[in-house]
Order: sequence, then C-alpha cells, then structure tokens
Amino acid sequence: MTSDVQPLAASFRDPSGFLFTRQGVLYRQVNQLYRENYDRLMTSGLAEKLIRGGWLIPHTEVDAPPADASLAYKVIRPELLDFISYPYEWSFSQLQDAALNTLAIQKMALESGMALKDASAYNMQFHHGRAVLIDTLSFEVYREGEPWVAYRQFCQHFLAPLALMAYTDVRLSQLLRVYIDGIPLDLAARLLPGKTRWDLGLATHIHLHAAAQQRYSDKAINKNAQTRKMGRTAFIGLMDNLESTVRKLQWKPAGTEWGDYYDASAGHYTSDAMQEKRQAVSDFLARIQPKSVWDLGANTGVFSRLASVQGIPTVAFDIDPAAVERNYRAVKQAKESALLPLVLDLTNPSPAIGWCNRERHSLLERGPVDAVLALALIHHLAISNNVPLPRLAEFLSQAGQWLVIEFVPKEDSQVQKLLATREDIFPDYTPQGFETAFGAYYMLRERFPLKASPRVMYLMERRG
Amino acid sequence: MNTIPSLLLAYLDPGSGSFILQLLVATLFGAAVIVKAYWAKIVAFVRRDKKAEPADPSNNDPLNK
Repeated sequence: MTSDVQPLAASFRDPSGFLFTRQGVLYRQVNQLYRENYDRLMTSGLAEKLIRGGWLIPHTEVDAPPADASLAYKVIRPELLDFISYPYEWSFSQLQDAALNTLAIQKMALESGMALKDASAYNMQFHHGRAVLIDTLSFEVYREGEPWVAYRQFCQHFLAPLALMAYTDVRLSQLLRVYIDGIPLDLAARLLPGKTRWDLGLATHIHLHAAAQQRYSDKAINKNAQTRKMGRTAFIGLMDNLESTVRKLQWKPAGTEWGDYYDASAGHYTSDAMQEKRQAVSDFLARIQPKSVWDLGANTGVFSRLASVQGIPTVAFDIDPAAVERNYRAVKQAKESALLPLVLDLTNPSPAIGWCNRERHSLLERGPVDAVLALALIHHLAISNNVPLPRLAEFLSQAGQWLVIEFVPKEDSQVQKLLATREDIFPDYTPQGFETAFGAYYMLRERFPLKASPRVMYLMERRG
Repeated sequence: MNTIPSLLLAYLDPGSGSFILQLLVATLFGAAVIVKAYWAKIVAFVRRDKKAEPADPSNNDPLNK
C-alpha cells in the first residue's frame, strides 16, 4: 500500500472488501472472497433494481488500482454522501425508516436469490432525504435452509432502540452511543415495560430472544446439522413479522418544551422580528453562497430551509428529539432532498467512538462546512451551560468558515427566563463583550440589529 | 470459487441463542405467511364472486366479460 492510500478506519470487520481513499477519492475494494456474491448482485439485476429505486447507494466499477492487490477482485467507486450521520443522532422515524428499508431491501434481495449478511444501522445513511444502504457488499447468495445470520444484529441495532424509544423513553436512543453493536437485548428486555411481553413481536424478538441468548450463551451448537434448517417460507415469515413489529411501534412528538417554539403563542418572537431575521439570514446566505451548511439549534428547521431549498446540503441539528422528529416528517412529506435533521446536544457533541476511537467520527471530524448558522442559540450555551464567549467562538470557528449568528442580549425575555433562577455571573455577556470575544476568531462582515427585538444578527468570516 | 464455504462470508457471529430462537419461531411465522396467502385468495375469490353479480360493463375483469 502506498502512502497516499488510506483504508477507512471503520471498514475492517467484513472480509468481503473494504473502503479506502486514494488522493482523497473514495473507493471500495471488492475481495476475491466475495466474487461469487458480487457477480450475483450485479448480474441478477438486483443491484440495478435497488439503485434505481433509491435503496442502495449507486457505484461504478473503475480501473483504479486496488489498495491490496493480493486480495482484490474489483475496485468500485461509490457515490458520495453529503454527510455521514449515526443512529444515535436520528429521531424515532429516521431509525424506523432505516429499519423498514433494511427489511424491504432484504425482501427484494430474496426475490433475486440473495440475502443480507449483516443488518447494521451504520450501513444505512440518509441520502437525498431517504435512508439508503451504503454497503454494496452486504449481500450474499441465499442458501435455502440457512437462518438469517444478521437476525441478532437487526434486533440490537434497530428493534431494541425503537421499542425503548416508543415504550420507555425516546432519549434511550442515546444507548446506541454506548453500545456500538446495538443495545444488548437483555438490557432492552429489562428496561421495557412488562406490557411489551404481550406483544407477539416484541415478546419474541426481544424478551424470548434475550432469554434464549442467556440460556445458550456458553453452548456451542452444530449449525450444519440436518435438523437445523429454516425453509424459505419460514425465512420470509420471520422478515414479515419483524416488519410488522417495527411498523407498529409509534412515537409522537408531544409535550416537549421546544416543539412549539415558533408557534405564535410562544410570544417572545413577534412576527415582524421573525420576518426581519429571515431576511437577514437570506441576505447573508446570498452573499456567501455556501456549498454546505450546519444549522446548530435548528429547532424544526425554519431557517435551515432558507439554505436547503436552494439545494445547499444542510444539516439541521437540535437537542430536542421532538423538533427533529417534526423536521424529519416535514422533509419526508415534501420529499426535500438537501435537508438532514439530526439530534445533537451541543454541550456534548457526538464523540469519536468505536475501535481505536476511529470507527465513528466526532461532529467536528465531519466538518468543517462553509457556513454555520447559530440562531437563538448563544444564550443556551453561554448562560445555561456557562461556556465563556471566547470558547464558544473557538468551537464555532472550528465548525465552519462563515458564521451567521444571532446575539441575544440580557434584556431579551428568553435570557431573563434563564437568569430568573440563578445568579448572573456573566459580566462579559454584552454586545461589546460578544464582539470582542468573537473578533479574536472572526472578522465581522455584517451587523444587522433587528428593529422589532433587542437581538442583533451578525455575519462573520473566520480569520486565517 | 465455489470451494470457499459460505461460512467464510458469515463474518458475524449469529449467536447460539439467536440461531436456535429463529429456528423455533420462524416456522410459526412462516405458517402465518401461508395462512395469510390463503386468506388473501379466499377474500379475492369472495370479492370476485360479489363483483360478478351486478354486471358492470366498465369492469375489466376478464371473468366478467
């Protein structure tokens, strides 16, 4: 391997092949070991069908030299994603759609005599608004009689977190951040309410499954014995039941504090101020023409859409799973292709996790972007989380070149609310203090005080 | 290439418990698939029967022609 060739750190488990970059271009090496399966995928028409339907990431076979010639069969070049997101950043419906699409792909594969040999949530990514499979090497020739090798993985990566989000607490999706191979089923079984034992699907795939795992945990089984066969109809039946179990799970965004932030009843935002703010953000975006945008604290994505409707790939982050759920449902309904809503706590953004801390990237490793929007955000970080303004400026400057930021002064009703229950230990939280702190990292390009509100909008460009 | 056993590609450990459970329950779920398919046939048959009674000239159903 020459020095300009870099195998991807997350691509090592499956001996079928691996991802690598050469001079910044992403390739996937297909190994000889996988030849029979790859050829079946391509010649059976399955790949074409899945790619045309938007289920599988498109790829082209290329002449580029492989990263490891001793193993290589072919080199393919997959279409690039705008942004890699992880299941612990998805809202309920995003994880549910990823699960349902995995099962839909499995069904189509079966019709072509193939099956999925893994069912990792990390193999699903949002691309142009839809959950697509990005691992072209996930298929294997289906051999009648064999059970689904990825059954356990599907239950851990998809079914357990979805059931916990629906029945226990939506915030339990964050367990996926701790358990990189999905939520252990015995833990899910303990955290789920007892009534889930009366649901055939959850009783089987989580409760009984956890019990079976415990019972056979130290027993080897002869997987090739003649008696251990699972026919095609049984295989399809299992997929059908998983599908209906996943489909039945529901979570409605209601009763959270931010879900109705932009509703007229919220009061602290006059529609005049809202209109002025929209205009300012639009003007700033028109001036800088970004190719990528992160909207931090996006709520349901009202301002994110000022960028995404122009086709600019935009990620709308918010801490509130209800806001992200609403945003995703809107994306889905309007078939928006440039906007990706994600759950993110900025006071503790997604870290780098997995083997060597390199399998799943931290938030900042997935940047920087051209432009960051930080609207109605600063007071939550500076006051609720005590982040000094210079540190806030440093963080934001690492995330993107341009910054559209709204300064929310102390006299604003929202800041007053935050200060109502605590000591004001923020003498530097003033317009002057803000400009000085951010001036160390940014050049101030435009300043736009809102007339109908004490807030001020800024456009800044990173120094250097 | 056919000499490579398929197990080489099964890089995931299916887990003994998960393996056994599947064998036990999938037969039942498979039976449900068959029942559903027959049920769909019965429903379709009954519907077709009903449709056949009031002759509808616009109906494209070949049995109605």
